[in-house]
Amino acid sequence: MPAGFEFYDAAGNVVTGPDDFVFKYLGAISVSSSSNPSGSISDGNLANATDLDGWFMSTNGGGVGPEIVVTSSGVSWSNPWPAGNVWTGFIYYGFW
Amino acid sequence: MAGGQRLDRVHLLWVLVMFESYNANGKVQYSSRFPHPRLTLKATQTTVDAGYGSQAVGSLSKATFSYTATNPMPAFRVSSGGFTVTATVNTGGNNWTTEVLVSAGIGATVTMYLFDTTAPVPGATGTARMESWDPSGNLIFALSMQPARIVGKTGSGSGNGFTGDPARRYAALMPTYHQRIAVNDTGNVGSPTRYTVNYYNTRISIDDAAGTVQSLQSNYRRFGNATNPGNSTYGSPRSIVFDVTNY
Repeated sequence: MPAGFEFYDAAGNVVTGPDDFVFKYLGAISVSSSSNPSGSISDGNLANATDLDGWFMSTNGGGVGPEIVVTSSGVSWSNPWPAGNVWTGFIYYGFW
Repeated sequence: MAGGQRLDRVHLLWVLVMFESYNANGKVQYSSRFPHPRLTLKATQTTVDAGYGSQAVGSLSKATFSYTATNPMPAFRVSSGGFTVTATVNTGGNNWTTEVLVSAGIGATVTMYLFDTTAPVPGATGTARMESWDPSGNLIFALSMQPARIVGKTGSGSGNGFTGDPARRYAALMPTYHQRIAVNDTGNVGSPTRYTVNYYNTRISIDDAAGTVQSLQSNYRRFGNATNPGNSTYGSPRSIVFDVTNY
């Protein structure tokens, strides 16, 4: 086993050891098909990632959302939908 | 003061103390620089009629979860059949609702593991403790927390699943994927009188005995739309796999 940080729950189970990856939250981007249907942000913390991801959480319930791309340098989004499909919400992103 | 001494000045020395651990690949694992989402809620629902009638893919039932979270990461697992997350909606403030559509009849059990950035609870005095704060004074790690342990992803289509350990239990967060195809029911192309809408989503199937998480395709239909909502696709059909053993 490599050197690393390990801790246990009260029942004696390993919660995480050095081989476990845990999610680090970096931010929430407020997006809307009307005000910012496409855009991008830079976040240098993503360069720390073994892997990374982002996802959309709707606040208007329209059942549609942005196309999201997360890379080791930032997050970008665009609107793939025909006119009339309104979406508003947040892109959450982070890494592990 | 005791001994007649007087304290004239207090020198405060601010030192930024940072806790970090690293994975074997040299990447940061825990760090006081970042919030670590932790398990804040484990909830179980029994599925009810999804209201979609007879579907080509067989029985469908649904479960709806309502919860409170600041930055929610809801992961799910089901007792039988595949499942897809069809909608997550903020209902005001920190209140959210997520609908899970299950490829099984009414009565399937769906369990949600909600991870959120809500600060963990410090350990009590007299117990084993280790806590870490970020530079703003927010508690971001405590031994009491159950972190979001990520063990892999599933990709698009069959054969791009995750293979783990049958002794572990897994749940899946489905980031975003949605495909919508509108079919003109009248047979007259361009007629706006009635459309059936086919939705295609990622369907996740978790096999505990095999220790696998598979990514398949799910489709369901909604009938009787008066106008053509248009065809479109966004996102990619994938999932993030969490290890929820002992959670």
